[in-house]
Amino acid sequence: MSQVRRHRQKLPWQIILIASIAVAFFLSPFIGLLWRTPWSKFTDIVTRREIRDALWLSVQTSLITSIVCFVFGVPLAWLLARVDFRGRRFIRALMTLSMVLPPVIGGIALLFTFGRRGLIGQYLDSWFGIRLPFTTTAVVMAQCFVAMPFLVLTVEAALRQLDTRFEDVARTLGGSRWYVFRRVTLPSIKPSLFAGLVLAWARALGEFGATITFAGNLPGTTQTMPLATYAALDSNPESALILSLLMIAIAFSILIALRDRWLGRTEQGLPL
Amino acid sequence: MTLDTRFTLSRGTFTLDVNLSFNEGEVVAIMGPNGSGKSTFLHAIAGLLPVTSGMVVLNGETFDDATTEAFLEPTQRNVGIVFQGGLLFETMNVLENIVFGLRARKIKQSIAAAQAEPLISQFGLSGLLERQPRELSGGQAQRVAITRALITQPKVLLLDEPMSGLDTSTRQLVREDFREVLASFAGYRILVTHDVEDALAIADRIIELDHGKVVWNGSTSDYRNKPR
Repeated sequence: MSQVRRHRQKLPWQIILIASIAVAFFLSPFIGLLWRTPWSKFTDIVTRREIRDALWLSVQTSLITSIVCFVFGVPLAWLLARVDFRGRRFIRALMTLSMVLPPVIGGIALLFTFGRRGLIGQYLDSWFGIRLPFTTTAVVMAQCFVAMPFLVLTVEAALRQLDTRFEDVARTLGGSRWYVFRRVTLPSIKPSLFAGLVLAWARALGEFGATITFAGNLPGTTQTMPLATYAALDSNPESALILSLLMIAIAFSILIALRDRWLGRTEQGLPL
Repeated sequence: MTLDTRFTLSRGTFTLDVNLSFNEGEVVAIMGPNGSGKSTFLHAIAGLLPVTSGMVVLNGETFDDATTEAFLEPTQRNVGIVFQGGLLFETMNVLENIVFGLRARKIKQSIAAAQAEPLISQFGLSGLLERQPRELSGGQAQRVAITRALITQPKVLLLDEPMSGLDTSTRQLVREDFREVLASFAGYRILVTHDVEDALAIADRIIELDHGKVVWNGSTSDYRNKPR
């Protein structure tokens, strides 16, 4: 005990002061939000149709996005980690690029590719009659575009750290590549897999720029929680406050629920 | 019946160049400093690395032939391999580790467990089946790893530094253990080690590699008397 106290006395107050300012900067907006929240209207606002629609759409699309990211992202991560092929660096750079790019730019790129006159969109329209922009599918695409890199890079890092001799042993024991991947590789990186999924899911839930650019802001179809919150800020600030609070609560409860179970145990940790 | 390895295998600037023959029933220790190509040699036999030129042939069956590009996948070679520390699958318990090779062949868990029973009791592992790998001692983990390798009745057993990382007292026990285990297995047995004591205690023949080349190939007794 006395040792702890002595240790504490040695801490430089300058650093503590500066760090405290940082903490205050992050904490005060939440307090400000809570302070202004019209608690008496909470139930009334949350049960409103457009709010419920936005909430449901957000939950739905972000979960679908997580599944899509998992299905396509894990094999991609495996390729990046295990196979030395031409263009590997390019693909990794591409992943990082879409992570650091302003999401609006991603949305514009998607629009000019999958839009009705886009590179791919024109054929989707004329051959199959498929029009993607301003649909719920577009919301999922926009979310995948910004969220998948988080999963891919997290899982790739975990795969790189995994001793490949585990897979070697499994192969000599008669396991096909697919069997080994399912039974040995995936279970070994489970903590990172979940960390990547949570990161991708959180990113998808908060997606705004790419969604509003590519999918638009149609209540019930493409208006997710962040879009609804932004839209409400002009016309109905009280709704915006309640919606913000709701999103904070969702994100926070997921983090708490997963903290000990998955995120705490992974040594790889979160890359960002 | 022989295992013939006559090949070169290049990785970056390193080249392993061997022309070695092994007899069934023989225990051969491969020695040499780090980077001499010991592990690469085992990898080539197991099919984890393809040879650059030459061939690997077991009992007349071509495993790998650079000229014809014939290559048997590790899954088809029936070569058991045991690495340093055992490398047990950490997400499975002891029994699941042991029957992995049977499960990979689509044999049901219950049948696989029954099939594994004789080996499990032979190696004295009956009481450990529910344990997780991290709950085992170094020697126990090693024994589980060997059982796992033997379950598919391999023709060749490859041991890659199986005794490194064990402390001296355990090492003595495991060495005894190993001699017994190896004696009960009739196929080809190749042990990679950098420890002379291990090699002298276990092997009939010793091969020494350095910089990818064979610098010694002779009986253990000759090796013991070799001027150093």
